[in-house]
Amino acid sequence: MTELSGKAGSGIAMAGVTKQYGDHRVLDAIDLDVRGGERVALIGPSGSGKTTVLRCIARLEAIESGSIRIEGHEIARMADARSGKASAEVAAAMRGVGMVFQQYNLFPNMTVLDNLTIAPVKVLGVDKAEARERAAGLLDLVGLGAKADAYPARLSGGQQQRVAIARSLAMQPSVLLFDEVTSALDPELVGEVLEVIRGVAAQSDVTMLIVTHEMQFARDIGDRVVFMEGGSVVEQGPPEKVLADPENERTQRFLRRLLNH
Amino acid sequence: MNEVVLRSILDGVVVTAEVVTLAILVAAPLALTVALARVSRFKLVRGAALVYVEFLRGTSALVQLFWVYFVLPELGFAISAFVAGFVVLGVNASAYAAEVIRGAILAVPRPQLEAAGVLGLSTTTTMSRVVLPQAWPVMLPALGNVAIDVLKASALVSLITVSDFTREVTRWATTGVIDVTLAFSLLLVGYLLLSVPITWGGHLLEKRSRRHLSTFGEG
Repeated sequence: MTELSGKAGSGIAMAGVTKQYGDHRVLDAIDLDVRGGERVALIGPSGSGKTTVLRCIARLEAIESGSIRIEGHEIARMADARSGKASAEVAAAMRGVGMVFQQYNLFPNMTVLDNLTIAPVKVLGVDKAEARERAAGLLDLVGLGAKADAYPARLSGGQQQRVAIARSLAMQPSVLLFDEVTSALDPELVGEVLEVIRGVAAQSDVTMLIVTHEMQFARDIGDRVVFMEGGSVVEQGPPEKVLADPENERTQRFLRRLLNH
Repeated sequence: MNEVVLRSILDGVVVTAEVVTLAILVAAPLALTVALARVSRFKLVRGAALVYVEFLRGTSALVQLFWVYFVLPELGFAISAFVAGFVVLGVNASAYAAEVIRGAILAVPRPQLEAAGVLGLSTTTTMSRVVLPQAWPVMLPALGNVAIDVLKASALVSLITVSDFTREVTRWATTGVIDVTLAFSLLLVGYLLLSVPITWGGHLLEKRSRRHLSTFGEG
């Protein structure tokens, strides 16, 4: 696959990460490792801190204490740092991290193609023509080759999310973070987005950390499932084990509630 | 109304149009710069921009005009009435426009900044390619108001001897050449007509700026 040059690195390593909003401790000295090339599904009740984990890895949130490494480089944004701005080393490490958001967050003022080329051109210094060619290939990959010149407002939610996935791939990331990427979609559009993620997983070595409420998807895509509650990891292991035969009582309760839903 | 009177009034209209156009040209880059300074990461820059805005909003445009025209020459900076007129009107309007632009910048949804941040876009690229293009349709209606305010405030330049629309009409009225009722009715209608292209242009720009943002309409 030429579009996807997923490089398997050493992945993500979070150690003792604590994140507070005022008095509320969202992440409580959490440890979480994702090996290079591994696909980890992060599940848990709302408010358990799943999304916050992704946002801390993406440096969208500052942490109180702990360490977050991407491919071996310390990148955590510390709450007591004088500036929220990344150093050159951190910025370089973060270039390998892509994130797909629940609300897609495409740039509405740009065409689909420009959404895909702006970062490679402006950040990586890729030649414009080359960036467009690569973007066209990625749009084909997500089944939207015909929408290159459309504006996001003209696309369905599912199409927008597929473009957002292609946009993150355009930066040739080694780590991809998926933040409840199907939660904002109408039920009939969920399938097409999950299918695209499955395709990317099958055709690349990209490390994936996927926050999801879709248990079947978590089971299919995950090399490992991590169950979180109260800001720390409660249980983790192979999907068939954690989802079908969990050991921890809290995991059992969470899955039971999902089934009875 | 004889031809001399009519000619001088039309000349006045042209001067008013020139003053307003030049004032807007002065205001635009200043307003953008000050708005960007208002949302700067640096406290000192933000503070300086705030002082600029509050000083200009807190002192009257007329007093600013008098100060520049009558006091600056005392300090050794002679300035023509025409230049003083459009510069003061432009600088004054820039304070209001800066606040409009700042508000529109802050109205761009935070997730847009997060998406730009995760893609690694620099602050400059994020501002010029993501934030400002999305803030543009938001700021346009209020910027149109500021432009119309500039037009209306432009009558003040008649008080520092600029032969604008107001000065020419009142000149003929006070000398009894034209009737007072006619004179001031003419001014009333004249300024209204002058505001039409501004309003119209604003609507056109607004419509254009929104064309890609809605689900329906022209692609």
